[in-house]
Amino acid sequence: MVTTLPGPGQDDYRFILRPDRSLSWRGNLLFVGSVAAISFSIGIGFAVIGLWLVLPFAGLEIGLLTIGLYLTVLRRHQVEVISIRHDEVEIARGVDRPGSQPRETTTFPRAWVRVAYRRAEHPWYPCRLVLGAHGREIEIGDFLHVAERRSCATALGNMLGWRDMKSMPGDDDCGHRWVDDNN
Amino acid sequence: MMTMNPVQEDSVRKQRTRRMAIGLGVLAIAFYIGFILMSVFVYSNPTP
Amino acid sequence: MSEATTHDAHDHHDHGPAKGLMRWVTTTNHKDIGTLYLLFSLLMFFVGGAMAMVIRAELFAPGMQIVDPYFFNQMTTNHALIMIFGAVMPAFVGLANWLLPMMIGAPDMALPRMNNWSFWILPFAFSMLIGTLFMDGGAPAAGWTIYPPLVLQTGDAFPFMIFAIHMMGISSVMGAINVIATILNMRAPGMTLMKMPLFVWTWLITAYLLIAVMPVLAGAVTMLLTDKYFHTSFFTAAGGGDPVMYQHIFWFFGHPEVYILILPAFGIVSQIIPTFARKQLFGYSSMVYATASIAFLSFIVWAHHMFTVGMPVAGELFFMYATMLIAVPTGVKVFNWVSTMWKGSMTFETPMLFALGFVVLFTIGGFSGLMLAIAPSDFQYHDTYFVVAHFHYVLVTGAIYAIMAGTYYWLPKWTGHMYNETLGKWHFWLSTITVNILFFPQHFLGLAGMPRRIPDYSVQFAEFNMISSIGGFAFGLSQLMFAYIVISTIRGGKKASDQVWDGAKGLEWTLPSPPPYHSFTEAPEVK
Repeated sequence: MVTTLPGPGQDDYRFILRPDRSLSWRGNLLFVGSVAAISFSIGIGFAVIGLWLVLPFAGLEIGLLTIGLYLTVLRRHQVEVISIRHDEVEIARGVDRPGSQPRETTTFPRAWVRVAYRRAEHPWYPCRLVLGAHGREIEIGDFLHVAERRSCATALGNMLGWRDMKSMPGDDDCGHRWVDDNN
Repeated sequence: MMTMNPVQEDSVRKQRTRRMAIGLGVLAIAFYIGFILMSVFVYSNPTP
Repeated sequence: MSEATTHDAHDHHDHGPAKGLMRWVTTTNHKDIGTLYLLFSLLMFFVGGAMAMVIRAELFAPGMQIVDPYFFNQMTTNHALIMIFGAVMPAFVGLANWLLPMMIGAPDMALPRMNNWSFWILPFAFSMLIGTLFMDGGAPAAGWTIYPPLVLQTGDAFPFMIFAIHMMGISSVMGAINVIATILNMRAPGMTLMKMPLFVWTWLITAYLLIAVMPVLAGAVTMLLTDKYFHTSFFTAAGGGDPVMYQHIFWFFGHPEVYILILPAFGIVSQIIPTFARKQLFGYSSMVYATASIAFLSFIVWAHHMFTVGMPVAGELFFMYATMLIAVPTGVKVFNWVSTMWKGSMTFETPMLFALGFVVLFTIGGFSGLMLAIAPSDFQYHDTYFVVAHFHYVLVTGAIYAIMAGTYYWLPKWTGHMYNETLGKWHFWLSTITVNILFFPQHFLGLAGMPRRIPDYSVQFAEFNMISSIGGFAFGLSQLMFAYIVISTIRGGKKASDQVWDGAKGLEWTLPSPPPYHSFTEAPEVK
């Protein structure tokens, strides 16, 4: 999901890129809590009648579930903010959570930054949206759908300028087809 | 064959389904009842 | 376009997938892993099926002909373990892998690396389990329920079987965590919980059940292990333990487990019937609540597997009534399927035939289940072939029919090719006729008193055993058709359209057939 906001200055813009997400941190926490409550009640129930070996397995499993959900939620709450200001373009990455700071920030001079939307090295994978200047490049929006990447690339490219792009790769070059079914 | 519009096609299909369901239903019931009768026959004549 | 620059991209498959065999070993793609699961389950279906053929061959006539009794017991035990943990569960996980992301509009499963792990544990687990056949003392032969004290007499195979069960459990748990993480967090915008396809719903509830009961199985088998090797006495009466407690703990896992084997089947059938009836599913929300009720009830009925063990009458009554309650939500489902078809414009392609076969034959299994639920009658039926007939009706014509229906239904989507409809119909009719010849007479045998898990029987059981065996061989042979159809569809065939079936609805049908390696180039639009 890409949100575009006009920035504070006259020709300033902000692009906010987020993956689809369907449950909040709190929702996930409640879910783990309810599952843990059930698993531990079962484990403790058996421990009370002397069959205590269920409990450690319940603990291990709930631990694994928690880690799995934590990683998923973290990935689903990634956010990339591309701030286009008068003289610079700043790409900030972080976790979309109240009060959290960007984990990583890259800045390019606005006059030099160029956009590329190019094929991945294997046709199975989606095309990549890349920003770069002075020999440094950074890929953005790797969690976006191809169509979103494309429209984001178009917006950014028209605003900032393209880097050796004669034409946009079509969807068929961007992991659209799985097998070569032309034969 | 006459071409049919979707409504006709639909009603023909429904009729055919009905006939088929009744036919198969009768067949299935005969199969199971037959089988069950067979078990009654087998087990009501125990070998002495 | 020149690419001679360094870049800062994180975690990219820049070099594409590995080539050849390594692609399948290292893959993290949900479609690849789904395919692996499904093919593995097909293989295990035939391994378990071969064991069933040995069983039916020995039971063809009274007397001992082909195998010795101990080997016969190894066959029944391993047939069950392989079919449950190797064929049915991996098939459902394979279907989940292929379909859940496509159904909820996600590009992949939430935890792709764990997904790879959860599959690749399985071949090792089953090699180990099957390997026990060649060990000193043979494979485990105490039945899939591995009751002590009998199972403690197993030879060298014992710890290997326990370890194999642990591995299967770990694989299932990881699969369940992946399903939960994916469904909860990766739905496309607009895909609210009550808009999810029923297959997604039933899998979410199944995953919940798996998480709840797998530690119980792990604990139970570990306690068997410590009883045998570490001088504990959880289940040994001599040391103050109680073998009946094992039965309680096993079935506390075992009953939810049988619902783990059937709930996704309900989901599949709920996808297929509306497609071929060209009507919306009748009573969507009641289907969701019925599934949840069945899941809840599965935790409070376990002792109906052990009515004859010597329980207080209050216990017998509680478990009898609780078990009968399950008929209510299950009945809701069956009536909903029938109402969906009512006045629908139905066509009968192979997936629909299997789904209808499921509804009719699973219901027969459901009714014999109700008979078994009546505690006083169960004293007569317990441990007889009636039970065998019951659970094969729910598992073969229930779970496996649903898996086959699902395979025919989605195979054109997966491969981009239509399967051969004529062969598919032959497969259905041959299977349906033979499966009834195989399992229906087993009801009579059970009612007449033939016990389960015996290689020899008295002569009054001869006729129906012979009929059953003939049905068994024919059913086994018919399944070769299934393998042939699936493999030939993978290799080629008529091109399938994107929607495939003209009544098909849902996000997976908006994708091309076959779908791209990475789904959803467009943001999916939920209607």
